[in-house]
Amino acid sequence: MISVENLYHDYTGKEQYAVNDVSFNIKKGEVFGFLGPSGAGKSTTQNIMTGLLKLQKGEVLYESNSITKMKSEFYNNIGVSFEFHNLYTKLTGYENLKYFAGLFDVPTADPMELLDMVGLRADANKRVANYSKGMMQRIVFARSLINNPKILYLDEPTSGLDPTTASQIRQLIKRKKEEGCTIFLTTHNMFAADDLCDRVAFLNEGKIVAMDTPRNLKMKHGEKSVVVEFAGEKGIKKSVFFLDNEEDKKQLNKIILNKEVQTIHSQEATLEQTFIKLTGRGLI
Amino acid sequence: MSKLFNLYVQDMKLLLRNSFAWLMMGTIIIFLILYHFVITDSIEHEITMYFVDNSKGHIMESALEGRNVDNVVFISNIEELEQLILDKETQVGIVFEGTIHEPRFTIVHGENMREENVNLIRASLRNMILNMAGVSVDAQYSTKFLGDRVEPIPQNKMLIPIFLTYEVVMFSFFLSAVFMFEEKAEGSIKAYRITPTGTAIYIVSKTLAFITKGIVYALLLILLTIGFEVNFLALIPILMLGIALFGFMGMSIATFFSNISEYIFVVMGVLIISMLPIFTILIPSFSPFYIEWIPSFPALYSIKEILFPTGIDLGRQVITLVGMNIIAYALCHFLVTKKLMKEGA
Ligand SMILES: Nc1ncnc2c1ncn2[C@@H]1O[C@H](COP(=O)(O)OP(=O)(O)OP(=O)(O)O)[C@@H](O)[C@H]1O
Ligand SMILES: [Mg+2]
Repeated sequence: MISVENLYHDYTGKEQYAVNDVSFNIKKGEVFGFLGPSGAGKSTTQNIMTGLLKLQKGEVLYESNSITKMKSEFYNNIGVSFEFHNLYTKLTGYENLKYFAGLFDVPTADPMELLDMVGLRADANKRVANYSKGMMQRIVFARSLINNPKILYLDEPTSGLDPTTASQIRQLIKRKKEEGCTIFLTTHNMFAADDLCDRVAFLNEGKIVAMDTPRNLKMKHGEKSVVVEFAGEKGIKKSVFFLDNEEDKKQLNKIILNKEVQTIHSQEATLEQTFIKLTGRGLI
Repeated sequence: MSKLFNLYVQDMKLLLRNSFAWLMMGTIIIFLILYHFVITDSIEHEITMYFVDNSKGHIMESALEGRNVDNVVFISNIEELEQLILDKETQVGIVFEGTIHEPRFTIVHGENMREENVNLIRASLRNMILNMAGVSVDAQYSTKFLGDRVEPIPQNKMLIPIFLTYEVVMFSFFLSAVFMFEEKAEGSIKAYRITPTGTAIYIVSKTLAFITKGIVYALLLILLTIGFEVNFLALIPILMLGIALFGFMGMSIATFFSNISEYIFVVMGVLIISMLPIFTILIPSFSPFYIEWIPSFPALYSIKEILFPTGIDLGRQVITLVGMNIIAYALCHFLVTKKLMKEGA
């Protein structure tokens, strides 16, 4: 349904690619996770896919129609939740949704119901300037659903939310998936990705380093590992060691011999560890 | 249409909640105080008209002798008049030759005289001759003749068209940029980009909001100064065209900037250039050729004429305003689409 082919993007004009030869397909009704550390190029990719950012090189196709040829009606079918809270701060939460709804040619959802869904009914008539970060995050998410979109682009929809609210948002995403919505989910939250996504792509420094179902990725790349807590020079340190990696094993032995080990836990492979293993870096 | 109305309501709300828009209300109050209490309605100093009467028996000189026309000075020869013009002591002088039945006038003027003004003088001279020959005169022309001086506009009243042009009309130049910068800073413009609404509605809805606010202020101002005796049916369309024009210009230029502190220099520059036409309406003989191409000119000139009619046909000014609006809108549409609706273009 959506096909991204050999996408590049250079903000600087000096051939420093924020997105570097990225290709993937998203099937209809699929939740596709886009994972990677800060600066990996996730938002850049999403912005090109939604036509916000001009396509420089490569191609983005929707049912084989190029994004560059898309008419404005395209926007009736998609919903976008941004990583930044781009709201009219002088308007109330309700007004933000109401006037936004008025810009579409298709039937739209009731703003009050959406606010209710994300737990903001009581704050509907407060100006957004007085909202907390998490509240803004939720209303931006609610706004992306207003035109009953067929494709949803969610850029970090749960970042900065408390665990309960984050879990509520995840439930809403699942509900959208059940309704048949195709979802492009950008996140650095591996737990959310594992929970929600049919397939994920790992993005690092503008390149896709792995792409598969979360389960396959963990099976293929994630091995048993141990988490060791030990006394370092500056207090307690925590490290992850993969047991089939010679270098890691040596390191682990060294620590056990030389340092004051506090705890050792073995753990199942997680997406996060898989990512660390593939890229040599953490997610934040 | 419903999309436009929807966005218009949103822009009106944003406007009413914007402190810059209330700044305009403040300046109106200051203006009203100045108008009613500070600036007197004393008539400004009159400009002297130089006459050379070369007719036999100096008929012009003797005819005007008994009348109260003390701003007319007769001088003896053309050379003296030309010297006065070269020395910039005056902008215009009139040479009269022939007889009352076969009069011949020569209008001598400096470089910066608008043709319009020359025509006015010509028409007034014709009427004066008819008058002297005993034919009744069309009052319009004789009013215009002594350069607006038979029924001069009091000083404080003259401030009204100036204030309407530079405060009410041109405020949209500033306000449109303030709006755009706010949307850029909040990022709300990004949300607008992912809707199927497009550039035209974006521009038009804002412009309509500025027009609404401008007209309300203008009416308030006029009712509290001149009162009801104004041709509102002519004035309102001119105000609308003026506000739209400066709104389009403001939005066009603001696409190149991202905050008000950079843009303020542009505002100053545009304001200074736009002020030049004030000199033209205060001193009609100051009218360099480029003055009519300054966007504030047709608005100022028309507003003044509608508030204090002197019988000039405003057709040309209206056409100029409409033409400028079309050009400014086209430019605005192009720039907003290219620079605001997409990034990295
Ligand atoms: N408008 C811009 N101008 C110049 N460089 C940019 C711009 N936006 C992003 N970049 C650069 O492009 C790279 C990718 O940024 P992008 O925002 O796509 O990352 P991301 O994966 O979304 O990160 P995050 O998780 O922090 O949101 C970064 O190096 C960033 O500095
Ligand atoms: Mg991002």
